[in-house]
Amino acid sequence: MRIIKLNMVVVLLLVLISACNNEIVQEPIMINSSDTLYMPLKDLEFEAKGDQWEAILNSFTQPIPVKIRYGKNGFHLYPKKDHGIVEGPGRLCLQHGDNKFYYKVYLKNILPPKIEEVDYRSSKIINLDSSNAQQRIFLAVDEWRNIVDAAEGAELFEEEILQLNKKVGVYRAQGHLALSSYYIEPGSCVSIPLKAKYIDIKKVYRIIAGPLKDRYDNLIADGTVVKFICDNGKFTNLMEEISLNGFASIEITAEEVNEYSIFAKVDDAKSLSITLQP
Amino acid sequence: MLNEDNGLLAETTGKKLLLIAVSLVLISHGVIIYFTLPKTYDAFVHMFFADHYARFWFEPWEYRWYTGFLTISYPPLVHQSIALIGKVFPLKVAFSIYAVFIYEILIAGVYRFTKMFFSKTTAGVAAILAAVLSSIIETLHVFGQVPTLTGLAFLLNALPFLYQYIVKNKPIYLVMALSFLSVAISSHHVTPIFGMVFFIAPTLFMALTDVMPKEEKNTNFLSFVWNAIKTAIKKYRSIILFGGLTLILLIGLIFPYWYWSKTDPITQVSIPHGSRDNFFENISSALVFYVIPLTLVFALLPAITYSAVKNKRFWGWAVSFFVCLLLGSGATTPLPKMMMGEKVFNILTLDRFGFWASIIAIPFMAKFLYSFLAGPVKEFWVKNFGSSTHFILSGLSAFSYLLFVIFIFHLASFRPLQPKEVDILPIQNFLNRDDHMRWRYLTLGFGDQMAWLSANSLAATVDGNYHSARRLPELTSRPVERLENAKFTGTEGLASLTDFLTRSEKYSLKYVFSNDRYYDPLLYYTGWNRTIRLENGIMVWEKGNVSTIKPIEPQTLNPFLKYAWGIFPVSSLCINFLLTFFYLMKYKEKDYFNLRPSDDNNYPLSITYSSSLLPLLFFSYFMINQVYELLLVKKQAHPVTAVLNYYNELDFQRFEKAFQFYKPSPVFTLDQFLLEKSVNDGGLLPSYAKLDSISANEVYRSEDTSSVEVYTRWNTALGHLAKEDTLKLVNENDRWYVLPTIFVSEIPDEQIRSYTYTLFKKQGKRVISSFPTVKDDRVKRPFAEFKQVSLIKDDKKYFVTGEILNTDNIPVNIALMASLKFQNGVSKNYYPATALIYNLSPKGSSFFQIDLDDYDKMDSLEIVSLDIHAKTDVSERGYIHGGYPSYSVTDLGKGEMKIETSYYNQLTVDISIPGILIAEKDSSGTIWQTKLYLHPKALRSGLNLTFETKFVKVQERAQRIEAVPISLFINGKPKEVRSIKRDELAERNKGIVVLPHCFVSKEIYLQ
Repeated sequence: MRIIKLNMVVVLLLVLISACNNEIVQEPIMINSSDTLYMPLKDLEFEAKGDQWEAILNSFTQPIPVKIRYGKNGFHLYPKKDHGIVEGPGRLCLQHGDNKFYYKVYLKNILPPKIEEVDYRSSKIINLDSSNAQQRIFLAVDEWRNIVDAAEGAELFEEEILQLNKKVGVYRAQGHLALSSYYIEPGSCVSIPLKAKYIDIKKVYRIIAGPLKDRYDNLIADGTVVKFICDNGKFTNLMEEISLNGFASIEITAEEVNEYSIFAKVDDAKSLSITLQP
Repeated sequence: MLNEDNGLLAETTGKKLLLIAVSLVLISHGVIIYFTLPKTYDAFVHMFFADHYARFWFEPWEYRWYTGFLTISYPPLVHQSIALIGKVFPLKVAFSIYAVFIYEILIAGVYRFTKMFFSKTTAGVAAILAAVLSSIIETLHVFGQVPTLTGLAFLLNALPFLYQYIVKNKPIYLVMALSFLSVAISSHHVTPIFGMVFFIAPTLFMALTDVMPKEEKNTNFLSFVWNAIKTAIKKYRSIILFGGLTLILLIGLIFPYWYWSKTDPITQVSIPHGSRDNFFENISSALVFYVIPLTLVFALLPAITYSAVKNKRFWGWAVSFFVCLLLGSGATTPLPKMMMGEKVFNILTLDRFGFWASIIAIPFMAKFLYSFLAGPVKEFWVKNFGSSTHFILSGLSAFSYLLFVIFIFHLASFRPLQPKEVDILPIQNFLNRDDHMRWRYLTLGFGDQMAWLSANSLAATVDGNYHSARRLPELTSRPVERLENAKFTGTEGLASLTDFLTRSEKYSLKYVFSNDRYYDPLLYYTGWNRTIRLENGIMVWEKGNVSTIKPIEPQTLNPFLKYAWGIFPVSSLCINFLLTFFYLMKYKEKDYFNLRPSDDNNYPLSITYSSSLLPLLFFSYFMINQVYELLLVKKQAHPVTAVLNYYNELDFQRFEKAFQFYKPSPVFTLDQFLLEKSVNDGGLLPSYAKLDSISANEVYRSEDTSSVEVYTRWNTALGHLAKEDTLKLVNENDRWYVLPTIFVSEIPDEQIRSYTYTLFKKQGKRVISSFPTVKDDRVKRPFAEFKQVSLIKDDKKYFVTGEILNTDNIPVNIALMASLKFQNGVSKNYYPATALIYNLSPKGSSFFQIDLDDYDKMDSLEIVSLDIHAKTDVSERGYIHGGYPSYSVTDLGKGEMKIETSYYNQLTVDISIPGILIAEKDSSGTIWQTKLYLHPKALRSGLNLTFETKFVKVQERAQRIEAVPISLFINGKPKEVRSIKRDELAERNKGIVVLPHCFVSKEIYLQ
């Protein structure tokens, strides 16, 4: 009797254990199977059993949200949003409980894209002391940031070294985009004209250095330090001023002037000396 | 009369008094704690730790201070408890709730502790005394030391159980004693460690005395001691069991702390603490650490001594009390240092011993107070002097003590310990925006509020407020508690701060929040720029070319230790609550101190008189003295006194009070005084200096006139300045008044001045996105060029000199670093301090000098190569250095030069600190040294200033080292140096050239 009871218990346990096994789910079959999926998705149909499916579509850069609608023999996948993607390899994952099924796909856009031409410049700041050459990369991208052939049979992008003009200014690589601006900046000062002017009302000499220019005849940058150095035999006066629109000036009280010899410097460039009489 | 010892009356009276004490704590401390805690020394530090546990309960690595430290360096229970309460309430409220809760437990502890000594009624009096005891009030409301109070509260509650265990040998008492001790250990490890000596040992002694047969007690001293030892031997099992289990708990509960102490020992220069001062020499320390906590103890010392010595069962307590009192006296006598040894003496804060002395004294003080209010002492006064006398004496004593207690509550107002409260919200907002949290910050002039800021932000600072955890060499090598109060720690503190400000790249220190303009000159001359003044008035300083925080590997800790730290201490508190509940329900006995002898509340006549009168005398004197110092002191009784007090008022910027020292005159009004003062304001000395020391000598005296020479030494962020003045005084109505000096104003010719500034604006991000800026939006690092670099050895010093040029078309901020490689493969980085103009306009240049180590170290290591790195960053500030200097140089012989400089201020704003950067060049144009000279007075717009500077040339004795190869890098790219050119200006001026380098404090364009 005990043996019978024991056997019954063992059988019951075995039944219970077997009941804990995972349900075996068959892999869904893609109807009209294709390696390429066109975005936005259009009615991608799968033959499958059950209604507890989850679908995850990933491009190589981002997940793409999809929704499921169940039919008689399976389910259909639809896009949640109608927009394109960055084209390339992708992977569709269908999940039912712990069972996952993967499908390698290639993702492409179906909508006709709007093409935009992009002009990248490097370096963005050209200092005329060093070079006026600039690297340019030109390419076309669609609205989903896929590089597209600019012209039939052409390279994906064009590269060239541009020799820019030597005129200081702010230029745009793409006319409508402020962010694409590049800048040609003046080089070092090479000439320092210096002149003095007596202002009777204020009883001062105004010493003007300018127009201060680089070797391409551009005015030097605003804010450049101009040193006015004058010597009366006893004291050395060091007056640092900041240039604006290519000029820098100082004022020296005329009463204090005793045969002052004065010159101006910008880095190593130096003006001729002028002498101020009392 | 409430003199029944163990009767029902004593029982109910004791509990009623306990209830009164508990209520008193609730309505007094409970109400005021929220308002006093911002002004305490330590409350914010404990809140910061609490915030840590609220955020990262099982992670002891705290990255926000000192580039990271382990919180296992401080027992966690208090902080974890506040963190738990903080889950419901704001952190400050949580702290207040916890503090009041602990105070209540302390009151219960004092009640139970006193019951070991005397009757329940006396214990009730002791509980009320604890609610108003100055030492406890100071510990909570001035020091904010909640862990100390927690440790003590649970220790006092443990002692009666220990006593019971020794006397009755019941395991439940052992369990309860250990349970309370566990909480004390988890809260404040120092309390149970020293408590073993000062509290547990006397408790054991008292218990052993009580279980001793009566005939063994009534013997002479030696026999009594011998009998006590014999009793202890009889009880050795209980004592060893208790000692062993306590030791296990002490190690086990906070094992991570011991692990940290062993594996990361504290090797730092001792930080001075007022409790280690000689109290006769430093009155301020004496007041805070000895007078305030112990005045009542000293007033009742005759009664305490009499009670403690008279009964043999209290002898252990008498020894503890007097030893604590002695150790708490700091360096007033050499004894504490002799007893503890110099090392321990210099590590411990000794005020805790005075605090414990006051706690040990509570039962004895309560006993006398009870006798004075309702016992034999009262009877004596009533019988001999009448009840009115006793009433008046009691009333006046209580009233004067009450005033004393109120004074302590407001001590932080009378003697400010902290700067005014800072609204931290604008700083939080600043740190949260534009990725500012990716760098470290530093606060200056915040006091302990820096911990409050840290508790409310996830941003990291290089500073911190828990000096035991400091491991950065710039902090541990000097006796400096914090960087933010470097002003108050003299030369060492400022040297430490300067290290951090100049080596900012090393610690990714990019932002300084300054609440004290004292630091402005140091910040400016070490390359920091003002960025924005926040709504709360805090100035934000920023340094360019600083990299973001590099990931730091936290100190590894076994996960078990992390979990132990997070679980054991809190469990000890939970278990303690459960056990206490269990004990009260099941085991509590009504009269469990049945071996305690009856109270004898009689005192000898001398004790009765002294202890009755001294409290009134002491507290009345103290309060009268305070009032006298505040209101009645004759500040102008003597010419020298008048001068010293005048300077004191000036130093603290109490100008109206300073004006009162001038002779009253209709032509010299307060308005005139302030006007004349404002004309002289702004310089390094008038506006950025703190009076360090003063000496005044009277050089002439007639009946009513006097002349006083004043020598002052001023402490500025850039060093010390000395000044000598002579003040003339006159005597009127027994008061000495200062005569105002004749003020000669210098004014420019023009009524209105104009000047054209060229300012720059960096656009910042042009793509509105919280993600990192796109490539298109970035600005390149500006160009710069080294004009020359030399390695110089002069006498005992090595340094690098040179000149750097901004070759770009925009203003730049430059960071320099000299990297030396030695023969042994080690390399070390050095940074310039003040000998460099960090912000340069386009085509502007600066001389520089980077000091290296002394020659003995350098020569022993043998330099292999020297790399000089320059990093540049776009700057829109700090490039106007102001002024037209003209100078002439006179050779004084032996290399000494006198540079006479005349400065003209062409700007429309005052030049706050006129300065020149001086370079010594030789005939080839090579720079041999660079020095910054600053003039202490400001230069007003349109005016001239002339000063002389002594400068010693070094090229005759120094050596230019050409054997060491020097490599130059600009923004990481190798660069060549320009060929050195002769300098026409240097040749004209005996090898000396200068550049203007001034500080303009006006913030119109945040220069």
